[in-house]
Amino acid sequence: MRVLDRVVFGDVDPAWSNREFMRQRDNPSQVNEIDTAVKLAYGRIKIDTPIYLGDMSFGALSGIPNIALARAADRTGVLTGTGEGGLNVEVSKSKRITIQWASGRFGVDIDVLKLGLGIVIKIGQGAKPGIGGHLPALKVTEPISLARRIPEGRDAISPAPHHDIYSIEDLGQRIWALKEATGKPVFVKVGATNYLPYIASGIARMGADGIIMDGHGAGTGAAPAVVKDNIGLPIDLAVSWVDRILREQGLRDGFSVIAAGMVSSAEDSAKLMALGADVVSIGTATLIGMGCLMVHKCHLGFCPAVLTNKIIANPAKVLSMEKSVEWTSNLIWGWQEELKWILRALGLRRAVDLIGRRDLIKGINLNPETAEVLGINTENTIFPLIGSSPELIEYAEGDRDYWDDASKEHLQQLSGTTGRSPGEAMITSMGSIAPPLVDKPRGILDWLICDGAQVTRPSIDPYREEIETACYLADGRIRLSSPFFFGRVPGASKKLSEILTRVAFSMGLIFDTDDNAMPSALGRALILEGAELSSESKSLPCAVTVRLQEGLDFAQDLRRFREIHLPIFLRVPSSEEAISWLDNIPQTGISGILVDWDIPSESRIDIGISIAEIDKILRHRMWDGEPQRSQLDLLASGSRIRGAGDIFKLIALGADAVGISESALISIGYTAEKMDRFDFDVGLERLENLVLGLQKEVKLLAGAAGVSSVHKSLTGNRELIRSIDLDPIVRRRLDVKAGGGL
Amino acid sequence: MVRAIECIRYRGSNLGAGFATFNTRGSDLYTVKAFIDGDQTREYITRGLEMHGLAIQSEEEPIWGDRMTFGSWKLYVKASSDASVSIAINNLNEELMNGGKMIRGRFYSFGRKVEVYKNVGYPLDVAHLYGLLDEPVNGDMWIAHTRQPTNSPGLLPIWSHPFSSGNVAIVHNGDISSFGANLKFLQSRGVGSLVGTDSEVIAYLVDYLARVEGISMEDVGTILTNPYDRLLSRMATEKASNIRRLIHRFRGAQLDGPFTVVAGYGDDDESYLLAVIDRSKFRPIIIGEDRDRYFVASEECQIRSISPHATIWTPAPGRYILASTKRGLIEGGREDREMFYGSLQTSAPKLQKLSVTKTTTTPQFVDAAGLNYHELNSKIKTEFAEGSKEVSVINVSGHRYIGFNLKVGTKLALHGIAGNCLGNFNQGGNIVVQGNASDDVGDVMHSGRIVIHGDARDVLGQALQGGRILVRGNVGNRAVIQMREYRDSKPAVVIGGRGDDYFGEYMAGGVAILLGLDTIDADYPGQLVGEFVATGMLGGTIYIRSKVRSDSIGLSPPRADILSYLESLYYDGDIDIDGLNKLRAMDDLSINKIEASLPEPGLSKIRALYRSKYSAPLKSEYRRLSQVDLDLVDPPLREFCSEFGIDDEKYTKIRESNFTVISVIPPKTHDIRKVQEIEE
Repeated sequence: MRVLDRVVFGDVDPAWSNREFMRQRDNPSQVNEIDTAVKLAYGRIKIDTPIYLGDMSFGALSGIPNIALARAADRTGVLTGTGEGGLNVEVSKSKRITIQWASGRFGVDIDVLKLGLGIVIKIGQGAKPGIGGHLPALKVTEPISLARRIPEGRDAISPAPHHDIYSIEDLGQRIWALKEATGKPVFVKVGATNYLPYIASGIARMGADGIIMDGHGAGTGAAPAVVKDNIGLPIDLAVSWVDRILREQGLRDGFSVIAAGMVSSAEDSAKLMALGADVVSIGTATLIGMGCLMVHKCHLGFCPAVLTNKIIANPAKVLSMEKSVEWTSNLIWGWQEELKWILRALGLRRAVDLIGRRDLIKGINLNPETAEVLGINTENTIFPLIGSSPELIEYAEGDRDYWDDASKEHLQQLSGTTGRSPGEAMITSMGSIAPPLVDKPRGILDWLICDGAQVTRPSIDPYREEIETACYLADGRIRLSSPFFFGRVPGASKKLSEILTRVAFSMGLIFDTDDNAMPSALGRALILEGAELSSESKSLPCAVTVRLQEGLDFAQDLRRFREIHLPIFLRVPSSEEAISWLDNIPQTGISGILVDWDIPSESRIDIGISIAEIDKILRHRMWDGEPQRSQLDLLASGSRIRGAGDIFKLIALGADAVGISESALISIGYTAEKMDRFDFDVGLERLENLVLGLQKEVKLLAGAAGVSSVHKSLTGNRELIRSIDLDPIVRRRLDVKAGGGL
Repeated sequence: MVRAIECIRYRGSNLGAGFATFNTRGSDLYTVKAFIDGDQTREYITRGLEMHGLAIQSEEEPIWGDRMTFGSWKLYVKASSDASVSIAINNLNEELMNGGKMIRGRFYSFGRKVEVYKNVGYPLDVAHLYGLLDEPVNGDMWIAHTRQPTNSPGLLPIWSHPFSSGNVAIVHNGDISSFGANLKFLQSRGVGSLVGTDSEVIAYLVDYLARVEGISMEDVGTILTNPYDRLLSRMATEKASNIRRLIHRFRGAQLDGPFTVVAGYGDDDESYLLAVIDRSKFRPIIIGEDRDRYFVASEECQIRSISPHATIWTPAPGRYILASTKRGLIEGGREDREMFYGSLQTSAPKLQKLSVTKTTTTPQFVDAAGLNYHELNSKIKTEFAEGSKEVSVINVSGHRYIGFNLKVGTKLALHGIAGNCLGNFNQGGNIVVQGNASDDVGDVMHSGRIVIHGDARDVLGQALQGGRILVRGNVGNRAVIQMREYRDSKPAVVIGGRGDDYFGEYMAGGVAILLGLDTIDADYPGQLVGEFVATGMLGGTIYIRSKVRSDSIGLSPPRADILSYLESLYYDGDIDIDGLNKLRAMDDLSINKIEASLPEPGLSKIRALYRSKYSAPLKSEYRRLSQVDLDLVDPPLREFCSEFGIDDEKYTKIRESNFTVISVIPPKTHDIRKVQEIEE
């Protein structure tokens, strides 16, 4: 559920009652007089309804929708962005358009830039902050290849950052360059991320005429699911502080604030305006207005509603131009009408009078920190609040629908069990439906989002640039190619253990197993159960684990393994007690702590909390003048860890590497029932693909945050994650900041 | 110094500026400076310092600027050790910050060798405030900074640069993604009070590593820059493992994301100048050297404003530069620097080597001295609008956006240093620079010519779609990025010197030629480009007149990952032990090299490691130019030689050299159709 859905208008105009409503509905003269016009860019652009039609490119959409949006904008007096695809001739005939200046530079020159009412420098977008535009290969047809001047049939992926804009002063340079060359107002479009208020202030200070802020859940023609689901702030958390900081610094007058991302009704737009936006941007809503069925497969080019088909000379079916202009115009007029009724109910005569009126809205059952971020009061009547601790801890205890179809399909596409791009990050389209905004959160990690770098911190494009994922454990004695490994699979069959071992070996990973009978030649890839290891097999694994339990004497085990010089990891449950057991761990011989989420415990807690707290404790305890944490590795492992998003967040919370188990099995399509029929070689291939796919997804998340060295810069780097409306008690235990705050 | 920072006023805002000065001799007393909000805090600090056993020897009256909420107060303090000062200041700072709620003040400079002058305002305002222009302040080393804050509100002087801890002061241009990890590193080692900006942690990191851990400044440079593992794996094993161990030991102290940091540090014997640059060289940096001094700056014009004839060079990405008062230049940040960028004795003439091109019409002269870029560009625009076909500008000094959208038949001659974004959107104009150019030359240029007689910096010819760019000297990172061709329009770029990383990134058409003329008479063993050549390349051809390692082309997986996989092929029986050992011994494990030595089915299996849906397979060969190549290369090459007066003998030598030729293996049309059918 969005935060915005728990924000309502507080006190309506006292003169406004049900009877009044009924009376005016029949005779709406007072409502008709309400002025919804808003001026943008220091008064240079006037729009009749505070709506900006999102920047959807020619190519992502199939042409007719692009033209329809532009014509509808002309008809209704709003503004439409044309996206990064190069300007279509028909679109360019419309007046109320903006021209996008994006990192791919598709089809722009000075004459084109002068065609619109303004220019939009696209730095980022809500669906994928830190990732460049992407038009999949099969949609790069001949007309697109000509419009964008790129080879046909190859994915058109724009650079993640503008390579001439690495800082706010570089952005200023480009703003002035474009202004000097065209004389047009310049807007800057960014994804909503951490520190957005300061970035907005910088953008205003650097001479831009407005900012378009695109929030989490915004639509896209194609984006890696892992990015879409895990990066960026929802727009409702971002708007208020941007407005407040701009006002505090005297930068707000005339400067335009446009809010985008999951805006789906006039009610949404009224709330966002009250939070501080001048105008909202809608994209998906217009497509739905033209018949979109939300199939989420725009990137494949065969949209059932003919909105996002690939553009070819003789398409089998086309959208009706006339109808789509009409539908879109009606949508905008209807929107305007609804907005007027809301304004009337609030006793306001002009839409501009609503902007920044946070006093008119209040939260319903928001946690106090979220209310503070929004700058509003909240009325809390139900307890516990959404996102509060008891509920979270319950999830860790077991939930039957933990694995939904979406996360299963994602894993299976990575491995090639389904889909056609094994070993690649999964691509989807349209807005994210991930938790916590749409889908139900499954654990604490679902309340966390990752940072996307932009403007001042260029992102790194892992498709074409170097991002290091290798991870060193046990003082450099163990190297993992990626910061994950295969965790313990209780009761694994021989065949399954062999597949996991062999792939851990080939892919430079490790497999934490209790099966001590794996081939010794693969020992480099094995972590074995210490208690069961006989002295004859001492050369076998790369490390051993010893179970740390209350009252259990493992000192003898430790002595034994110290003698044979194997790194030792203490295996502890993810529980409240386990954290206290760490008081007495011995200094010598231990390489690290492995927190195993699957060990049953009375006081089991979400692994995110365990990792964050253990990391914190170890950092502040000293051994010989050095923090314990710099001498001990911290591993997280559990069957509930679902993929790259979870892995990335656990590393940011403090883990060095993360063990996956159930997700690997789901990914390759292995079940205990099908064990006999499961093909060994197919299993190997799929599991190798999973490793490659997960590695690419970790790189995408790292690169989007501007991290080029995962092990060095991400471990424990809580700055790169934020919580979304999470209970403050849990948030503090995680030691992360609240999303949207300063 | 003030002049040098003020000449890039457009890079900053009035939200903070500052200076730091270092004195190797230092003093016995600690110069302690704090921002305070009033007399109460002043008393509070006085008591606090005494409670920590620090004796105030003398103090000056706080300096308050107009409408300022904080005054700057300077005291001289006697203490037993650097550590005792650090601990006291740390504790007091934490109390003064009040958890950021009600900030009462903050110590911002407390060393024996360093003194910081900073506040809110432009650099000139700050210099005036502290009287730096009235009374000369002597130092062995100076640092200056102007900024546009993005990580803090910037309204208080405590957020201005330089940031200082002990005898370290730093300035930083960037926004480090490792901030959270760096913060944890410092906090777990007892550094508690920070104002909360990413830049400040860097000062504390350097101070911690150098003073507390006693690490050499060379090693501090290595720890902060965190060299690519792929570069380490090409070093001698022992050296590489020493570096790996060093970095692992101080994990969390590495910087990531964009940064150019200039740090000064005074130890007991000398003062050090350390500059560190991120791996992608996301921020500008330029190094200068003259007979007496070393310079590190964002833009060349800053160095030239102090030392017009300094030798200048740019460091390679991900490197550090270190110089000290006693040892001079310890690390220059680039191999073969003197070969490509000249040495102190021979450099100066490079700029004046060529005279103004002969012209048939009388050009209009514009003097850029004293004009800001906007004024200059208006003048140029007016000249062309009034019918001039040729305009000549002298005293160009970092002016930006020159020569936008020039039309066919116009010529613009520039004398001096052309600033960023030269010749963007060029529609047919002929731009000649007698001197160096800066970043982003020829962005979205459609036709015409840009000729640069000196060096160009990063991102040359971005999205170039027609015309030619000729550079006599070197280029920086990401040259010809996204260059593309369009119907008959085929752009060409010829570079006389060398290039850095990501040369030809995302290139989709046209020809890029890199000549390395400085090495033409030498048996040069190195390569003329850095790493990641042609990553994401989609079309066009790259010619580099040196051998390029095939694992420097495109992106290849880490060596250790390849070796792991090869071992599993041996385990599976896809390769015998001799085959495995042969591959293990190979220095370059790119797929092109492996293809020759690995039989099927192992080869098909290992390809998965290299495969990416979004990268076209590249072909690279080191060979003489064929006729097909010459058809592409010769016209721009001839133009290059005639433009820069390269004689026939050299021209012939170039033509007959071996080149690394990189292009995309073209997809067969039926493959495209197949992909489309499959996906449908």
